[in-house]
Amino acid sequence: MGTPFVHLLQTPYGYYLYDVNTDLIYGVEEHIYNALRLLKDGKEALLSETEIGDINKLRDQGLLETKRPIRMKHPLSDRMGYYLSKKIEGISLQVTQDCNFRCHYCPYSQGENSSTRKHAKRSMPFEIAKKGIDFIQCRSRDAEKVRISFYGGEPLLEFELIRKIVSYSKNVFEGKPVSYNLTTNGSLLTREKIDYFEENGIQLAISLDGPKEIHDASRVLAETGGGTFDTIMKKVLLLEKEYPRYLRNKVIFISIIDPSRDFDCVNSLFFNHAALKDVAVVTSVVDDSNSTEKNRLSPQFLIQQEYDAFKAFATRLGWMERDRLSSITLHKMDNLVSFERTYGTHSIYDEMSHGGPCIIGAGKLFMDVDGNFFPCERVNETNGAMRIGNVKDGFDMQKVDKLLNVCQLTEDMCKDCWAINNCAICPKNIDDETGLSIEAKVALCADEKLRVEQLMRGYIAEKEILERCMA
Amino acid sequence: MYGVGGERTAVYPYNMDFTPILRELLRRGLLDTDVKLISPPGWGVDGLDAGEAFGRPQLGITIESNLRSALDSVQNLIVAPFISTGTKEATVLIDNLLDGHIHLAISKGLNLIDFRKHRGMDSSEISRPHRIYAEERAKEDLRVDVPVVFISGVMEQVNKFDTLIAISNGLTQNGYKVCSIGARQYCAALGMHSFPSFMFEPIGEVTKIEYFKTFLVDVCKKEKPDVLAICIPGASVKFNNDFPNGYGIVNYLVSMSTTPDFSIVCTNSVEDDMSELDDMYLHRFGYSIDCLVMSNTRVFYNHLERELSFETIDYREVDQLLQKTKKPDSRIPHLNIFNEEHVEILTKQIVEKLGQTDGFVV
Repeated sequence: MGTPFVHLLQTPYGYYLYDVNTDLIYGVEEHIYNALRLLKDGKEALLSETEIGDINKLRDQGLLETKRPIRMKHPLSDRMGYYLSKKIEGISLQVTQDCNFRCHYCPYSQGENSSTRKHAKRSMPFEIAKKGIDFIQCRSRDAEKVRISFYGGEPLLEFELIRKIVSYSKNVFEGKPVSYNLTTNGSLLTREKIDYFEENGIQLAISLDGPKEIHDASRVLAETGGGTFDTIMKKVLLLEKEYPRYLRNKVIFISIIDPSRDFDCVNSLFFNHAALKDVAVVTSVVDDSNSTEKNRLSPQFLIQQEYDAFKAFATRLGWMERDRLSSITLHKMDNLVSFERTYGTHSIYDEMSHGGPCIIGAGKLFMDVDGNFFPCERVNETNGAMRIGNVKDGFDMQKVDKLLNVCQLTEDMCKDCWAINNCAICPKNIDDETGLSIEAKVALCADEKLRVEQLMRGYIAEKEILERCMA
Repeated sequence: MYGVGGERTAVYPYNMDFTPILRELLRRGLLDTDVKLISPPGWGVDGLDAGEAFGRPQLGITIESNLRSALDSVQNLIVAPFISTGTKEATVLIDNLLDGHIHLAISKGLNLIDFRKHRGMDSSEISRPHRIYAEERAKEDLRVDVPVVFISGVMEQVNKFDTLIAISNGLTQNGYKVCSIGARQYCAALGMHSFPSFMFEPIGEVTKIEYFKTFLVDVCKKEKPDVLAICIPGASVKFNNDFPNGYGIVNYLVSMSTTPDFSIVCTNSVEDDMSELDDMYLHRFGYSIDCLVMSNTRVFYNHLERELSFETIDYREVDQLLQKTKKPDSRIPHLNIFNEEHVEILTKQIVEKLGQTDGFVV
């Protein structure tokens, strides 16, 4: 019969199979579920004739295909020459490695034990920035538009440099839509700077982690170690009072959540503060992949998070208003929405890759102060495997290919993995400081499968709730 | 005449779609080779040859990016049409830039030749009265009584317009009078008719078929060509569920208006089973494929991002691809429209095939 490419799931209310080849979830009866389990475990001989008949009925419906990928290879592998010569969609510039904050969770702020670079008083020379802009200008002919991002350290320490880069790039990219964005801690915002950003349509991403006690526990000044919340809120109030339209249209807040803290408290700022009503908030849990300090979850955080997840279901079913949900839960809900959007659309190809890696170098190219290229701003700059070239010599295509084909590290596992259609392991997650680690990837697989299964369970739970309510 | 005899001309914004027009204007001597071709710097084609920049044969003219300085050394400015195939934002941006540049050109006393305003005779001269006639003449047995050549494409951006120009020239050089209907509005600049706009209006499909048939009959009556060449806009087949390509509806409507005596299909894939495509054309549109033109664009679908991208390749690579995938026993020849020998072969085949139709003198 061959082992069908499926994943089996059980909930308190039913039995399900996820059919990898059709990318669909089906409810099945308990005895079929058990029979499929035997089949998956290679115990076909134990199946009764009735069970074989039932399984064959599913096969007749086009389910339980055994087809698996033959080779793991990213679909763009043979096209990267084109993408990196004609379709680069933007560049993030590390205008400085310096920062006036020393956030506790920031890997650049950590001591000698941290594997990443450290904050340093090093800025990008304008000549390097120009070369970076020129580099992508002649390699973005087929890109509909380009994006230029300013990153640090704290990029507002280099405001004059940013002005020069914007001015230069406007000339260089005349005739092509260009969007600009800047990620900042917000402390150095002034009227002059905001006027400039507003005039030039530059989008700001301001870090704000929650109410004073939460924000100040992590985000502190480099010089004094003092809290920064009051300073940031002054800038927020300035934006609210004098630039309300800009605040609502071009500013987003990034809230990094420390899971050892109180979940509800983290969210309360964005619920309760008048100036922050209706602003765009992107939330994520502290990224500890390059940090010496790993996340610890408090029991309260877990309980409140689960309660919020329950509210999310209530919202999805129309029983509750969306604005009563925390931003972190909204973000999770969006993940479920994305899962649903692509549900049933994936196929198994002879040659394929799991998701995760972006179009290395073409999608989120990051250039450090010295002109070195990295796939994005979130990777470890000291890991040579992540340095995919530089502005003088161009791309190192071998490294690009290696990062793009991260699926090949665990080829045999991936070919037989039921989560292949929804997996999102990217090279950044399996950095072992000197290269890409098979062990790290294998370790991450379990988490990733759990994440995918949770999405599937969320999808099933919603159907079950609806079914039971309708009954 | 767009700038010969001492007058110098600039073209802005020079883009891929204008390349076949430029080549033809140069060939006909309507434009001098000292023409300045200006593309916005953001397009990244500054310093490249005007043909090679878009994978076509060399034109020997280098693209520049500084329009302001160019305007000081020319007497005419040709405004080239530009419609982005992707975001509307890109088209709007260029339109806004153009407003400023046109203003500047006028203030400098330059002659403005706006190709965006070039339209074929469809909307003003023929198409409008046609609607009235078509209704009155719907029951007449209207037939296009000259041999017809169709040029269609399995996708967008497959060199259909280049093919129309090439075969029109080939047939004209062989002494035939060709009436061409191009898919682009500004093809009137080359003496062609543009595809009638009523084909995209919200009127009934049957009405469109009748209007189009009447339009063709009247064009032929008026011009008395030996051959009618029709370039069908859009794509003839759906690419996939994400990119249905308009389901080939326009191709179907045109095929119901008249039947071609010779059918050229432009494609960008060398891997497809062409007999399947031929069968599809026969059963869906009622005619077989006589020749396949392999375009210098490659289309690629990234299933991870659900994104379709087009890549322009050098026309010489098309020759290599055709050589690699040559099928000697295939009924349908595979040709490269930028290869002059292939254009000769194609012209010869059209003449031979049309020779089998009544009234066409070989």
